[in-house]
Amino acid sequence: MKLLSKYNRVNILATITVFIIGGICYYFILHVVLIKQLDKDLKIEEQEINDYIKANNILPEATNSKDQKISFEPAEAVVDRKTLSVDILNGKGDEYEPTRMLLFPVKVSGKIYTATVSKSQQETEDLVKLIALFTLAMVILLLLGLFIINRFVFNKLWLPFNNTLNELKQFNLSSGKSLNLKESNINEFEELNSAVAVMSSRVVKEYESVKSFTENASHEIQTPLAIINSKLDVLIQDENLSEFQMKQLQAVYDALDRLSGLNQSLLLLTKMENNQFVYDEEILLNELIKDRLVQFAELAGDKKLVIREDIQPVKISGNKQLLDILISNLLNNAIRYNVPGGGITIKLDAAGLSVSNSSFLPALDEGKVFQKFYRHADTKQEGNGLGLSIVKQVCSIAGYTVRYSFGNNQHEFNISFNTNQLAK
Amino acid sequence: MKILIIEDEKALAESIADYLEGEDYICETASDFKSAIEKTELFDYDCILLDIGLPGGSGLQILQELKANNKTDGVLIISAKNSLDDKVKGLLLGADDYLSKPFHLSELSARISAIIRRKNFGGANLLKFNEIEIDTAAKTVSVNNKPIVLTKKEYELLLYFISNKGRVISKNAIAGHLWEDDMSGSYDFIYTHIKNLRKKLLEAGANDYLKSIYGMGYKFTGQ
Repeated sequence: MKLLSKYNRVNILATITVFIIGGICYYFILHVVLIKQLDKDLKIEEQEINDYIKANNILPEATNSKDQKISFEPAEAVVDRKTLSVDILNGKGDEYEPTRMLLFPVKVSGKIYTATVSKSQQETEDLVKLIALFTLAMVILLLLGLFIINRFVFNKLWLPFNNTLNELKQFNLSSGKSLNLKESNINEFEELNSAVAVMSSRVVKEYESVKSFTENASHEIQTPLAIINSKLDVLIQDENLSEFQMKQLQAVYDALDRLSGLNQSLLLLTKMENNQFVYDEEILLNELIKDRLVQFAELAGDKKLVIREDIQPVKISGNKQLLDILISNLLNNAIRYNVPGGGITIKLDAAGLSVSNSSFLPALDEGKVFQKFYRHADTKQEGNGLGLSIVKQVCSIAGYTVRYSFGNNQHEFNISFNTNQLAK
Repeated sequence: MKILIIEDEKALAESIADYLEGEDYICETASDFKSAIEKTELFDYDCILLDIGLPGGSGLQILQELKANNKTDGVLIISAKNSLDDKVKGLLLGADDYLSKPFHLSELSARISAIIRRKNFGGANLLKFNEIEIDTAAKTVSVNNKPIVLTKKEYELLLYFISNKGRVISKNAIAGHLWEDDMSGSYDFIYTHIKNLRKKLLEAGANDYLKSIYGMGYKFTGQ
């Protein structure tokens, strides 16, 4: 739920409750006050009647005006003096009207009467109704006011916050762009911005240091690798080496090759992350693939693989070296993990490239297949586990999407090109 | 033939010198920028092996100096910075070739002999090994003056062997030379190519120069 809606909900609920309780209290207080006023008037009337009787010793004339009625009834006994509210038929006799009534006993020349003075409560009720209506109008006005405030004022107030949020959402470490935070005169937002700025600059710094560390480490590793390699090359010239010793050296060579390959791959990944490639070369992808197929023909032929090609001419702009690596990695995998006598299907058109192949491996985990150092448990430690991460990285830099799918015992890698990069 | 090895890693410079001296090259080494500049100014070399990252300066600067002084020494860059930029920059500045670390000494040796061939004979050189003759310009091979037909890989192999005659070359080095990419399982292909090459050479009347060394490598030798 939005902060604003939540705040509004509480705010409106509280406001309405207060208004309703206030309205009810107001109603009762007003009611009591007005009734008291009426009672006072009735008492004055009683006083006047008693004075009149004392002076004249006759009953005053009964009256029946619009807002006051006086009547006398002979009574057998003295009634208790009392005031009460009743609904009685109005003068026209069409509706009941709330009326305040005072009953008291009077004595005129020994005869007992019950005097009744009544006054209409209608005006009082009308006043109370008016007040209730007014309260309701206030509530509606308040809601309207809140709505307008939310609509125009709050959105404006939250603008710096939304701006910061947008900047954070678009924040991309590898792009190297810093956050563009707008100044705000609201303390909380200013504080948020400065915290975000400090945090992002720290993250960028650490990212840079990790990046340069990886690149430097990979470069530094090249030299000792070169020394080991050269020492081995010199060592095997010794004619006194036994077969056993040669076998040991072969294992060292193989491990060294793997280490070099791994280091090359890591270096390549780091370079891509560091944006050290240019991407504006025009490349005939179909020719690149054909060249690679020629190079891999021997390897594929050895496994007696059937290669089906459906390759349309596609010209694309990008980095030739990286695209070559991408194609090479895909084809290499398609051959390496294939079964003898299996098949590879390569499709290329303007929409994308797809390489599918049979394999001794079951379906791979889609979520993990592009992760660094992911290998299916059934693969021997042949590859360095970086081939597909490199494919993924090349694609994400170039703006392609790469998907892995498995069906009919075929592993398929499908790359969709970014159509803007297709040259005409 | 005189080679100057400009490399700050002493152990590497040493192995390179050891290996190349076995092939009748005379090697000198320079391990920093200053001594490298001094040596290149004073002497002429058939080939200079140039490391880019040097204490005291960049190898690319040495290359610029060489070209500014109209020196015709062949230059082979050996760099730990396997970056296309450095490669392009080096080649644009007039380097003859580029090899990134780590590399096999047999590969280095083959590249050096190719550079020297190009320098000394304008690329139209005939490389001879007893009765075998390779025309590196036309990429043809003949045995006892009779041409034989080799596949591209067989030709590359033969040239590689003759550039490293008398040396043991590991299968790893051969695989790296024939296929630039990681080709696991390619040892079997090496065996096939070598078998075919040997067969063709023998059929054409050449001696059997190819020796397998305990299955871990090969040696092309006249002895």
